[in-house]
Amino acid sequence: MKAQLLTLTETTDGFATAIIARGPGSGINRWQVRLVNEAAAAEYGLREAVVDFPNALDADHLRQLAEEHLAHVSDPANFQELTVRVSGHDRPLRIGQRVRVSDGELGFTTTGIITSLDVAEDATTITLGGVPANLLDVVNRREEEERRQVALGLPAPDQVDVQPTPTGIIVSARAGVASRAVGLEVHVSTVNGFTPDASTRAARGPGTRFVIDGLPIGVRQYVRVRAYDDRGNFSPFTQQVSAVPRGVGGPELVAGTIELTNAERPQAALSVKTTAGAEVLRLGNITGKPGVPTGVNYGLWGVLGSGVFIEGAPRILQVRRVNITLTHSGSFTANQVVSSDSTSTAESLTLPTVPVGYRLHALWLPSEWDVYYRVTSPASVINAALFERFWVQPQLRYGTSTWTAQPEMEPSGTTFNGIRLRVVTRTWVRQGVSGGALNYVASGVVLLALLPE
Amino acid sequence: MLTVRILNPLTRSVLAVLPEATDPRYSRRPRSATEITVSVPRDAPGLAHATRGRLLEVWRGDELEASGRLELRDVSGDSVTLTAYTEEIRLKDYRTPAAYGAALSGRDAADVIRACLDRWYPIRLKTVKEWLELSEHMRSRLSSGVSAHDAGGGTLWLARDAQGRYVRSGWARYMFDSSTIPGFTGWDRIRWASDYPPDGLVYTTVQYLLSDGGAVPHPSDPTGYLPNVSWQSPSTNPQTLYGERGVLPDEIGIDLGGATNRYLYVVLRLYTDDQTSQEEGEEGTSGSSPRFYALEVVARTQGEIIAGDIPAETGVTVQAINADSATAFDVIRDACEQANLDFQVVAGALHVAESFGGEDGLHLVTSEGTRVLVAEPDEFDIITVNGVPLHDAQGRYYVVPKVGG
Repeated sequence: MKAQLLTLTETTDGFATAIIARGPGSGINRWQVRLVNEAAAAEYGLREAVVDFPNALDADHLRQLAEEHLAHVSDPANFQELTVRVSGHDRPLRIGQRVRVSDGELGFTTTGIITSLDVAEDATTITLGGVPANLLDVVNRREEEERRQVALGLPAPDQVDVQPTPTGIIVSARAGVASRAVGLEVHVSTVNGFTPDASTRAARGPGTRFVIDGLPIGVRQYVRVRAYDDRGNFSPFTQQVSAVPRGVGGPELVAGTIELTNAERPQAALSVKTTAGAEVLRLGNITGKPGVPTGVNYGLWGVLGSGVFIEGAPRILQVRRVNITLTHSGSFTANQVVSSDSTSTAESLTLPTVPVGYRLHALWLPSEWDVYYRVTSPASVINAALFERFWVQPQLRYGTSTWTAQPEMEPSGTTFNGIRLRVVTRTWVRQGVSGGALNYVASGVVLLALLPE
Repeated sequence: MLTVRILNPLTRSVLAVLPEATDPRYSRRPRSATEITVSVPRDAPGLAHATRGRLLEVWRGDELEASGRLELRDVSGDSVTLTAYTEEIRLKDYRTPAAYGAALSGRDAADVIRACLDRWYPIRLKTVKEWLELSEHMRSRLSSGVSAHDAGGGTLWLARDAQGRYVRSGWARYMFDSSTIPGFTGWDRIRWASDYPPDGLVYTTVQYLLSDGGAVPHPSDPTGYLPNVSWQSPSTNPQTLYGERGVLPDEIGIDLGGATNRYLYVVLRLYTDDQTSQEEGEEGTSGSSPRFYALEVVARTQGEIIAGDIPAETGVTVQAINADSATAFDVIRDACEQANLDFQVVAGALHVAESFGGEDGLHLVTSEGTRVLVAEPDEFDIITVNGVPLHDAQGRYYVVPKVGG
């Protein structure tokens, strides 16, 4: 089959790097989502388009539709067409068929989907869509030597991957854009480090995905791939990759093993360390790491705040203990309710420097408070009063006089310079004490937390 | 000799020069972005830089003849045809907010044109989640006596009290942070869609406050927010209403004049004078509530086109601009058509004038050899001095109408 490239054309209608997606409705009374493909915008400029989705069911559905649409319109590959004249083919070509086109003169090989057909008796002109966005760049390369190398190149396949199936394996590989390969050859063996020969060849042909069935379950299979051109030349073999056919119903992951580029070692682990050498994250064998329960051998371990960051997890930066004293004097009679609403003396508060990306988020009180009281005059009368209600609220101050109980509502960067407790209490005096004085003392712990912005 | 240069669109630095370009063609039309095409050998040095989005300039000797943004490449045979559109095309990347025509109408055409040089960045609250939760551009949210429901795609209502009645009033305050808006240049306006029937017993108002940080009044104190105006509701059970009722609030809203403060507080207020009425069959609840259907804060962000020669004023008030998510190009074209002006974008700057052809009927035409002249070139003669055609710095020739033409 012969192929002759006719044209390679870009189109522009509909191309956008950002879209404003609008749901059903009109004016501003409708859902609206603005999405930007940052990578495309950086490459081609910020180009906004407005797209209406009158059939969106809700805001989440609108976002989903918008994301799908943006993925399509921001990919230049979807606005590029390759026209090729094909002759000498013995099978009819079909719309939607995926074909691979190699052009030794221009120096490229690519794969596309037939979007239109014009058939004549001796030749068929096909238009391919979905060809890679950089195809024109490949075609446009000027250096003759580079072009010659591209045109003549037959490198080992790249992006080789092997995945287990219940009854075998699936091998995926690509010949690469700068290859004249017309097909791939897959070799499989149970021998680690095997040398491929005719007996190990398991599959051969055009395409990038090969399903190899009938392999023994639970036995590791090693795979190497090479490419070939239409003149009988072969590329070097790839490095070997491996997988184990897992069998029907078999476990996806065998406990106690971690695979790292074909290594099978009980102690295998992936570590992340700081420049000072401190390990902050480990995946694999985590036996003996601080905080890991005895008997747990495998898993993910990390240092919270250094290697592990969990969105929404509060980071407590400061603990403050605040005491408050409220004194009442006077003549009390039995069964009298004394109401008080007072605040403690403000204490200065120096907040730690808020790290970039964090802000003061909340102020918490523990659920239990130390609250006690005593009658100071005369001191001999004990248990003379009971709290009918005792309510304590912590407050922070910024500026000179503004107090807030909701620091999370303040802008990032607000400086607080005081902390106090506000007390509202009603006290029931059970035993009258002429000229007596009541002294209440409340103390508690205040927690200040920072959360990521 | 013709050369083609490929430029970085952001810095306008030259990425490549294509000296072997042939067959350049371009056209110019008033108030249009028009094509520039040029053919380049497929193995021309530097062609790899000629990709979508880059700027393309056609030079004749040391004179710039045309510039535009590269959009298309076409490989056929031994050559690559590059197609660019003159730089006015870049104004098509900007979109106005929805139903924005009223906000632009009634202004001098020059002001409308200048207003299109920054991008628009609308932030809209519509869904229940957006009414109730912090979003990426919001720093805080406070509310009292309001609730949000899915009805109508998401609406804000008054809450009910323990007896099932709508409370007399409620509010919600949203604090927007300009530091979360990329390229922020100013706050444009607040727009909203809500109930305020002329003969009803429910009312909605909006207030705002601009701040650069520090303490702001609690929203329960409406006198601390703008506009600080109040009036009595017109019912037999009146209460005091505060804020802006708005005229065309979902189109014009409150103009913030491009304020550059970091924080914008928006307070939505809902009032009802009806706590007792009941629908047929309604049990356990009573009263009626106004609704906020949507809130939109429009910010402006840095555009890529700068102001060139634009008149301070034109004396023409623009009317009935169609700007429903329209491009800046369309808005500028409409404004120019109403004011009988032309516009061009040259070297990243927008220029507006009655004509770019000079005075007293003089026109400029493109250089010899570009094959594209003014609309009716036969009606003009090129001015010559001692037999040499007279041209400007860009290589465009001066012409005069032919006698008797």
